[in-house]
Amino acid sequence: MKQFYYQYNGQSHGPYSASEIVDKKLPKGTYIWYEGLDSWIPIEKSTAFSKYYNGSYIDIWGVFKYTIIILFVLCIVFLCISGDILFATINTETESKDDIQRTAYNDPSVDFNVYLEKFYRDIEFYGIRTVMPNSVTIKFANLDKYKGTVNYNGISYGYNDDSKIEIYVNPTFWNNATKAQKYWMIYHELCHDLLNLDHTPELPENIDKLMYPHMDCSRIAHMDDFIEASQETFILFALQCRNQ
Amino acid sequence: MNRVYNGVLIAFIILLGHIEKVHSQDFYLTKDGYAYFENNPKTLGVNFGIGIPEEWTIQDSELPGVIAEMYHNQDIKLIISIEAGETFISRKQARVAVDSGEIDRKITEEQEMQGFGTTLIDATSEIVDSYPARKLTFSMLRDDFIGDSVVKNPYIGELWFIFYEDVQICIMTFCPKHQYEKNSIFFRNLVKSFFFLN
Repeated sequence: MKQFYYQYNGQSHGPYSASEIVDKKLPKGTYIWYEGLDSWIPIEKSTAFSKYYNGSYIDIWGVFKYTIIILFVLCIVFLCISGDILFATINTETESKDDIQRTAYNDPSVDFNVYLEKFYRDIEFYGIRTVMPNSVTIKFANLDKYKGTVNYNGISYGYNDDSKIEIYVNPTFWNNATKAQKYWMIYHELCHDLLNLDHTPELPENIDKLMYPHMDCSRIAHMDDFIEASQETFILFALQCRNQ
Repeated sequence: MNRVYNGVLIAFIILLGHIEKVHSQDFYLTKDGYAYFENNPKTLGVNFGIGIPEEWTIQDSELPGVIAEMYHNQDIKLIISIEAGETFISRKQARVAVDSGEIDRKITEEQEMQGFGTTLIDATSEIVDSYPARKLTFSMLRDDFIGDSVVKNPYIGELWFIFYEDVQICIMTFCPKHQYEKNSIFFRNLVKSFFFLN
């Protein structure tokens, strides 16, 4: 094994192995000598150690090892948490839907068919023809009770499924809503189920549209608000159907 | 608005003739002189109230479209009827429909077809409880019996069409022509006492 010597404060030190010299992290300009050299040379010019001093070499592990370890641990933790959230969401949605369907109920004092009949009357008035699905379910369900539907006024499960209308209404919303707000919510959900309409983008200019994802009750003060919003939706839909 | 107002036609028949009616109590009266119609299956979901003048009687009717009749005597009457509309219309759209005068022409045509012998003498746009309304004033002749003989007496009738969401409410008033000047303000106040509860 090759032996190395270096000079420090006019004194020579050694012999050391190559790895011992590296560990000492000698500063640039330190003179070293090893067998085969005619004279002492600066360490950065030696064949054996020049790679540690020419700038292209960075001991990443040495310099960043704690950072790398911390990042690695953080990555593992993130993957675990996001995986948990993903699976929890999937499970929650499935469980919520099952729970909603299982616990949904009819209130004899509320006849949702009145809203359904008026919806059909209105879309026909604007020249929109649809077939009544075989399965029609519009019921109350305690949406506030389930993860994923907390604060929902209503939810529909018949989107892109023309065989059914399946809508669940939050009784907390219903019992506090005005007539216009009730019509707004039911027509919104029926547009999902019967016309397969998606939500409008959440942009300020869409806030008064029937298919805006969130219902701002303060902006639906009068039946006129509902009437004009629903008419706009039906007219646009009828035009789209005609152009296709 | 190409449609027949059954309630209006029946109301005219009630005014001009004598139809046997079945009475029920689908409304309630309050001490301050109002009749309230709430959750009444005949009102097509419209809940409303109307003032009842002293010495007047109110009764409901099972005739199609006719919700209630109010009368002071056989000669002075008010009839409320409600018809389903084709779709919802906002107050702004109703205002346009009311001002267009289309309803004047339609009702006049229908009455001519039914042979009521009515003549439109005035048409104005009004507001009833913030909703646009059209008031049509007609003159007409009614067969009145005096002993065994029939006498044709002149009457004046007012038709108030109120456009409310997806229904049209018609309030019809009626009195002998010679009493109309005295009653016209009274009728106006009576119709203007009409208000919606939802």
